[in-house]
Amino acid sequence: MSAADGDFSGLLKNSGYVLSSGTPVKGSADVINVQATTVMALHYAGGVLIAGDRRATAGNTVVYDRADKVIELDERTVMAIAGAPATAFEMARVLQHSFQYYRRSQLQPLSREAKIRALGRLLKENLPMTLQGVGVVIPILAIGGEGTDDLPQIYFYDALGAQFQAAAFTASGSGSPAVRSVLDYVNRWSGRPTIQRNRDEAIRLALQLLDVAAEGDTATGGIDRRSRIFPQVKLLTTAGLESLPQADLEQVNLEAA
Amino acid sequence: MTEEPYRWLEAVRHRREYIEEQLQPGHPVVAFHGPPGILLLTVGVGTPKLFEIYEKLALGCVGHPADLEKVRQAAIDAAHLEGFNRSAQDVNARRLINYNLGPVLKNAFEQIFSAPLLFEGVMGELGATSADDQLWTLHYDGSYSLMEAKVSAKGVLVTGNKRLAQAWTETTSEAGAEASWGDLARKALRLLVWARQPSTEGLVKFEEVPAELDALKKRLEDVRLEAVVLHRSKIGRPVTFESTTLDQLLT
Repeated sequence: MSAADGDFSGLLKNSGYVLSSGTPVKGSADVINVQATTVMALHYAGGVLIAGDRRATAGNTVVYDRADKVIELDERTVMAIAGAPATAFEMARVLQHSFQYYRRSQLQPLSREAKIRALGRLLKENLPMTLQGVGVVIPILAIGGEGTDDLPQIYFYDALGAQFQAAAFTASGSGSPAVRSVLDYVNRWSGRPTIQRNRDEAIRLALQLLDVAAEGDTATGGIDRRSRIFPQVKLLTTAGLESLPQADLEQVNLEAA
Repeated sequence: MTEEPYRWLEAVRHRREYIEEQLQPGHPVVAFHGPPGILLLTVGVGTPKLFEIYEKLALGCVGHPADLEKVRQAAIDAAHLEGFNRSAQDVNARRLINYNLGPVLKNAFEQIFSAPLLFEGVMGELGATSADDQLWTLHYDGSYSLMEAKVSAKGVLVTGNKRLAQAWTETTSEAGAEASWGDLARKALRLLVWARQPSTEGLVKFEEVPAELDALKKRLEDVRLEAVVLHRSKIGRPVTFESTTLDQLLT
C-alpha cells in the first residue's frame, strides 16, 4: 500500500518511522509485569461500556494515579490499553492519525473490519518487543456501527495480533481475572446478564468490578475515594460516544454505597 | 531550450497563458469567515472541490480534478506527518503553504517539460476567534499570500478569470457584521452569483447583484452548491470540518 491508498502507516514508514525497535535481543531478564492494569468492556442494553482504572505502575511503585487508558481513536472507536504504556500509547496515536488520515484522504471513513485489522497489524509489527517481554500490549477495541441498526461491538486481541469478537464482555490486564470471574457469574447465574442492564446499572457494575479487581491486584487503582479519583468510563451507543465526567461517576458511586 | 534564457522565458510565458486559459472556465470558490467559523462555497460539478485537510484546515480549489488531487494529497500528507511527529497544534496553514505547497507548485510550474498543475486555491485556518482566522490564496505558479483582515472580511474569491479576480480586489468592502452562518451564507451566495457572470461580456458591478436571499437563490436554482464549514464551536475536537447545505446554513 502507498500513501495514496490512505495508508498512514505506509506514509510513516516512507518518512523513516518504525514502531518496533527491531529484532529481539537475547537475555532479557528481570522483566516486570507488563500488564499491570485492568481494562474491560461489556455489552449492556444501550450499547457497549468501556472502562479502565487509572493507576500506572513500575514494579512495586505507583508512578501515576491519573493515567488515561481508555482512549478515543475517533468519534466511534475506543481502545482500552493494557501493557507497556509507551508502546500502547504510541499504537493509539498511530491509529488516531491513521483513521483520520484515511477519512480525509479517501473521503470516506475506514470500515470497521479495516480498523480491527489495523490494530492487529500494529500488534504483529510489535512482535520483537513482545518477545523481549518489555513491550507487550493486549488491548481491547470497541467500535460503533455505521447506522442505527448496526450495534457497537467489542474485540480483544492476543499479544501477537490475533483478533476475536467478544460476545458479552472482555477484560485485559493483571486485574482482569477477577473481572472475568464476576462477569461470568453475573451472566450465567445472577438472572440479570449485563445485556439486560440499563445505562446506570452498567456504569455502577463497571465501577464495582474495577474496585473488586483493585482488592486483589496492587497494579489496579480501582476507586480512590480519598483523592476522589475514579476509573474512566465511556459509553458507545448508536448515537455516538459518551465520556462520563468524574463528577457523574462519583455520584453513581455514592448512590451505590 | 533551457540553455537559452530567452527561450526558457518564452516557454514559461506560454505555459502561463496555457494554464490561465485552462483555468478560466472553472467554477469559482468563495471563502468567508466570521464568529461561527469559516465557510467555503462553490458550485458542485461532480467531483468535490472543497476539502478537509486537518483539524482546523480546509482547502477550496479551482482547476483540473487530477491536479487538485495532487495538491490536496500533498497537503494532507504533510499535515498528518507534522501532526503525528509533533502535535496537532503545530500544524498550521502558514507552514504548510510556505514550506510544502508553495514549493511543490512552483517546482511543477517551472518544470517546462512536464505537464503543469492546473490549480488555484484558498486555504482556511480556523483560529480561536474570528480575528485569528487566516485565509491564504495559493496560485498555480507557487505564489501565495495571506489575506489581510480587511480583505478576508469582505470575502475571498478564487477564480481562473483574471478580470473578475482583479475587479473583486477593487470592490469596496462591505461592513462585516456577520453573526451567524446564515449571514455568511448570504454574503457568500452574493459573491458567487457575481463571480459566475460570463467572461465574454462587460463586467456587471458587484453592487448590481441583489442582496436579497430569495433573489440570490433564484439565480442559483439550476446548479448544485457545494459548501463546507470549519466550526469554531468544535475547536479542541479532532474534527471541526463539516460538509453542509445552504438550507442548513440558513436555519
